Amino acid sequence: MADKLPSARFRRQLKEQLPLLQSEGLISPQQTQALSDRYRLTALGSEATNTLLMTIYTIGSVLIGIGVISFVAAHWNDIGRDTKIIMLVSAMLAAHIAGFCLWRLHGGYPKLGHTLVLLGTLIFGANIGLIAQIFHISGNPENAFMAWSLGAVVIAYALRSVPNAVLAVVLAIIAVFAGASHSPHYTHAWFPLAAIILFVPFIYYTKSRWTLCSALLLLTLALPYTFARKGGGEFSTVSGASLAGVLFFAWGTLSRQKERWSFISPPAWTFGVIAASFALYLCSFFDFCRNLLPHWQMSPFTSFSTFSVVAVILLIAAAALWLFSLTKTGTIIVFLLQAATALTLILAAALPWFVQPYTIAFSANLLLILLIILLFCAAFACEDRRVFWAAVLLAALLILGRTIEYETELLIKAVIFTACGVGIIVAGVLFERFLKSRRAV
Amino acid sequence: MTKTKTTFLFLAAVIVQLAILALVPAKQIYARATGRLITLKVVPVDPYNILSGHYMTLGYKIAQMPSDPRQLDGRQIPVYVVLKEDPNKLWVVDSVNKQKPSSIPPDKLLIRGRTSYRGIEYGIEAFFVPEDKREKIAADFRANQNNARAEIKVDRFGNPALIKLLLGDNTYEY
Repeated sequence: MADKLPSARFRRQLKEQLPLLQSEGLISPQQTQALSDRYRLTALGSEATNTLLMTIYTIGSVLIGIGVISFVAAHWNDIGRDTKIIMLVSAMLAAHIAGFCLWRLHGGYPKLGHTLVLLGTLIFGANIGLIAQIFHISGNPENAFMAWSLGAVVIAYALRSVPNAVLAVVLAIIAVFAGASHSPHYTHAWFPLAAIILFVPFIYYTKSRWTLCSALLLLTLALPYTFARKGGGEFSTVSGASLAGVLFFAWGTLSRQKERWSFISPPAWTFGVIAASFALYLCSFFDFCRNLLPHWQMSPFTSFSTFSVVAVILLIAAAALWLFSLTKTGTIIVFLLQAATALTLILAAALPWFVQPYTIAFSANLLLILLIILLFCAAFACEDRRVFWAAVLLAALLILGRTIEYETELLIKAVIFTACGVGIIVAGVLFERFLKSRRAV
Repeated sequence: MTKTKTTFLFLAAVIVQLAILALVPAKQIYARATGRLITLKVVPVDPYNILSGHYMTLGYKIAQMPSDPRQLDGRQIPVYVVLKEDPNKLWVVDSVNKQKPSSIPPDKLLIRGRTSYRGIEYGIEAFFVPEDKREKIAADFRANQNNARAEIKVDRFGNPALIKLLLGDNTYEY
């Protein structure tokens, strides 16, 4: 018996259809019974009652909650400091403990219980703000969100709770950007490394795709952003993004070798390609490259700071992951694609070390073209429509960028745009034909 | 996983959350309990925009950068400010140091801050006020711009906690 049943709607429809199918002689009474058992159709009625009850409980508890909050809000100014704190902490503990009992101890209401535990973590976050307010603390909002995120992570690990983990990642993303409004020169150097240490084991522990994708998004944003906040402007942004690209791509390739971890590959590759092509695309503009060099001295790679340590650790980690991923190979085409794409990504990471703006812009354009070709090859090799359209999008962006960047005549622009349009349509048709022929085989 | 183990892990996680909550006001509680009470002169940051959301932004005389700001650039670096009492019983800056002074005379006091592009920040710049009193306090603040003071407590490590706001003859404490 499969653990996961299809949606209740499908099962209801199936329940309606089964007698019809049986009367038409398409299936035997034994098969009807087997299907009914397989999809637990007899339990549908009681499940509906349970859902209804749960909805009523949820609405009821939300209303009670609003009532209590309104009552407290009306008298908030008259309540003493200690009472306020006791009330805030009690609300958090009540949500946590009630949720835990319903979910794990009683076991009868796992969803309601899980929701209450999540509510407990939300109240925990509100409490950080309210307690800071009671004591007139004015600090960096970055720290408050990081503390909240840490609290959510701890609950996520203790109860294997994916919603708490995703909440923690979202809070960490907010923390990265919340610091910006506070002060332009203040950020935590260890942030990307801490995020990896906190969230990656959880991904392995629960095999949660949601946590994986949100954590990849966090790092894709955090690496370029935190590096740039240290100083070095554009140069640091490019280094951070390309570092993320190399790291994710190597991780994805390594994960592909074990069936258990293969779910990591597609998102890791996707974010790797996004991060690397972002870095390459920025560098493909000549003016951008000219601005890279004045900031060179302040970047994490050229001036020693905690940021340099983090950058070097991540670079070594990426190289190590990549080396390990080379030990086993699939088919030769896949191997070549992996090796060549990884080369592109590693070159992207090395890009800022080229000295002349012309060299950087030229190499970036060349590497982008290489990346586009490789994506097209991968699309055909894997028969994946999404990879194909990603390649088309990147190609279109590249051509658009060059056309905007250089003062070209209107006639040439017209020719380029027409050629692009025709190219996209032809490529799309050819690819669809290819897919159709493959699927027919 | 057994129920006992899950319960244990859950309780441990909740204790961590409680510990984080306790850490948020820990320094303030310590400063309130053990600190030395001093009065600081409050200067208007932007008198027509005192209220930002739930709190008033307070500017302090001691937040102004020393005359030679080259030694302390705009980045957020920790500074150790030594204060002394002036004849008006208000505490003013004696010296701003990058390193912690080895000893402080008993008539002076150490307070920790951080440099920023706005001056030195001490973490006591926000004064949260109840919603119904906001307009009254803002009006009072505008009327008493030259006689606005704040009472703070500073613990032996130099951590400050904001206690009350004094505007003319009125005292506000929340």
